[in-house]
Amino acid sequence: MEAHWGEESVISTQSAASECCAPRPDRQRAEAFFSYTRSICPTCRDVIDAHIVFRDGRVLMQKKCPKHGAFETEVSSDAQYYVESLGYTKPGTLPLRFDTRVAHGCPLDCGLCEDHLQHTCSPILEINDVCDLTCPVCIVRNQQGYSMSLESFQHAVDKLIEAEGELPILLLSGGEPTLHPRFFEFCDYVLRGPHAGKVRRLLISSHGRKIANNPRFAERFKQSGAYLSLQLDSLRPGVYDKLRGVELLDMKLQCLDKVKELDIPTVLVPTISKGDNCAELGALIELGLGLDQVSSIVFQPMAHTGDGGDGFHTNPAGHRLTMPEVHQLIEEQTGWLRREHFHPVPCSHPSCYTATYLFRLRDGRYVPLPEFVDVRQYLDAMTNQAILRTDDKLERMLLDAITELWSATKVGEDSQLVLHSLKDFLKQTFNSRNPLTPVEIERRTELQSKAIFIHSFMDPFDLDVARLKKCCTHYVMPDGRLMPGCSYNNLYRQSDPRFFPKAQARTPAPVLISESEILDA
Amino acid sequence: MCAGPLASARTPGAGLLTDQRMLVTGGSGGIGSAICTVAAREGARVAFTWSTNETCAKQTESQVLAYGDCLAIHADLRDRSAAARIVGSVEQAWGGIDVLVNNAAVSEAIPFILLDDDEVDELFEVNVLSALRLTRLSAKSMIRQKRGRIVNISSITGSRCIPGPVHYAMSKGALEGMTRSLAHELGPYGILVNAIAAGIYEGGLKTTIPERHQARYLDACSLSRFGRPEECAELVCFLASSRNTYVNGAVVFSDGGTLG
Repeated sequence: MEAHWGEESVISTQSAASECCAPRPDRQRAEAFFSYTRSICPTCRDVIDAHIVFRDGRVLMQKKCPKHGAFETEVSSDAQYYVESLGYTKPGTLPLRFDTRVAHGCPLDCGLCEDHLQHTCSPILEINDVCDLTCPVCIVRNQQGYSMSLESFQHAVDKLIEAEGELPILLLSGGEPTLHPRFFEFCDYVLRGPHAGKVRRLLISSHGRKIANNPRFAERFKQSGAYLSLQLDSLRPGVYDKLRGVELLDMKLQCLDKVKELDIPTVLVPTISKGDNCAELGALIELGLGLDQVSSIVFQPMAHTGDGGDGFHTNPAGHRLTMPEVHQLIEEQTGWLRREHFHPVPCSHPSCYTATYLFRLRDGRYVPLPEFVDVRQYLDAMTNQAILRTDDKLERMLLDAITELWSATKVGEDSQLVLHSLKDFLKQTFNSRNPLTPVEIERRTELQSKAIFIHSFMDPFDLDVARLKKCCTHYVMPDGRLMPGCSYNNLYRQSDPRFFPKAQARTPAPVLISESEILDA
Repeated sequence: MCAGPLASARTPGAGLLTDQRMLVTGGSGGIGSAICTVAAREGARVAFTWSTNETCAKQTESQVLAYGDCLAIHADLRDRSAAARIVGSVEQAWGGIDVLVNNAAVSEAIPFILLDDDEVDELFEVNVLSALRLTRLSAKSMIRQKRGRIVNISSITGSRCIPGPVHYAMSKGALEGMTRSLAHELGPYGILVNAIAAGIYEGGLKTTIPERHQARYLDACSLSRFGRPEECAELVCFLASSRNTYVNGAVVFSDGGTLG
């Protein structure tokens, strides 16, 4: 038994496994079976069967590895929410190309294989594995040796555009991407190179140190046109020490000052660890809503994978924050956002991404869109997109909302405020007296609305191929292949020759579709 | 963004509008600036009004001055007394007006149910009533000289069922009604009145149209592109010229051939 995987989440060792399956005297199982799926053994990473079961109103994944015993992991704290959320599904979008055959079955054919059910909404391109922090919660495994070449980067971006055509966002990650010596050339290639206009937002996943400490770099960052995706876990002293290995609060606040000073468009990305900073969700939301530069806040409940999985909790059981728990914490801590305001983003699996979009009123307060729009239209507008775009569906939804509110027999003070605020927004955005460019319109829309996302990554304990198959957050490989984030982190990263040149190639290897076959198709 | 200079030359004295005294409203905007410049190229003396964008007004002025006389008049067309001052300035400078182009217009995206009376009034002041007042005042000298041309810049929203703010579409419908009725009333005095129903033009009110509607327009346009302001200006100059002798009371579509 590998002790570091957490003994409480292991419900039996190999020998105990047979006892667990022996009929109990009352012949009554403690849990109700809900569905069958596939997962991996947290110890040997072999693909194994898994059951999703209900017990005491919770949802658990139970699985048994022939070599390492049985494992049980909570996947949702609320069975009713879990079942209802599965209804939020829409047909996926096909990518323009697949790169691998269905040969060994999910998750061994990544990627994307012909069985993958969703295109790429949120591609992540890791441009280095060099970082000046050694965060205990890090989900990757920085080896401090890899720096992507410009040529390799260009090739990967070219392939990505070939697979998707256009992208709402592209995230450059690492390591710490701002430490890459050719960082700004990479930004230039995406935003002003041959694919200019194809990527609507270039996000840079960063701890923010260079923005905070290097004024010249911060200026250049602003000029680059990229968005800062800032890790911001806490607003209290002492928390960073535990989550990031060193006290960073002053630096984070300095970085936020720079964001305000230079008007750098920013996404806040707090990693939430139960018992460490999960009491700060409300404060982080209020901070984000108060900053014009912040377009969204993405809460990431901690996943026990990568370096974080190896050491942060000796026992992940009891430290997992599931989607409904995060909703509940937000409700408790804000007092005005309610759990029913959060809906699964239909492009991914309901257990992976939920979101709510907020609209700013005349008086500066925010109101969640689900408060005044038709939820079906709302979900349609969100379909297969990581960000809410100003398209026909959104326009129809807002116009319908305006009409419904206006024609209601009883119009409350708040509905009047919503109506007037919507009107102000339209009047200021599309007005011949103050013509705006498309980029200015998008920026104004961002100022008027914000999004709160909860993005739940999987680790070896709760990895579920049903979630993987619908994944839209994909790592971009240098050869242009796309790997669903959680399959890559849990199965492929440790044999990626970029980071682990001496590692043995993963077997069985995914079967690539040849370039000529792709062209023929 | 201001309209750029137009690169074409004319042979002196051979222009469509040689020595015509032309007044154009909204000369700092994309289409208005092009009308002023192309008319000047065609030999007209051009007076134009502008209200908010001084930089673009100066640019229009310098483009017109490259060909001939120019009079730039700062005026807020919502002000009911502005029309008399504008026409007075041109008549004082040049002794009369031969051609009036009612081009100035504003638009804002407000759903119908949220429109209040003040917003409708304000838009109508610029898009319709100022045109009515300027036309009445300009027609005086035109009637005296038994010759004149009036061109109203309308929009395809004035007569087609396409997305657009209701008060804006109403104003363009009103302008077209005014065009037809006036043509009848002023035709006997040698004054021809026409309108151009413009599609979406670069530099026009395009910025007030959400991108998705612009894309829809391109799909429906047989030329698959937006208009260039000078394309509208060339048509204005023909309708305003003495070569136009039999087009009257017409609404001419200049939209690259879009679905009716």
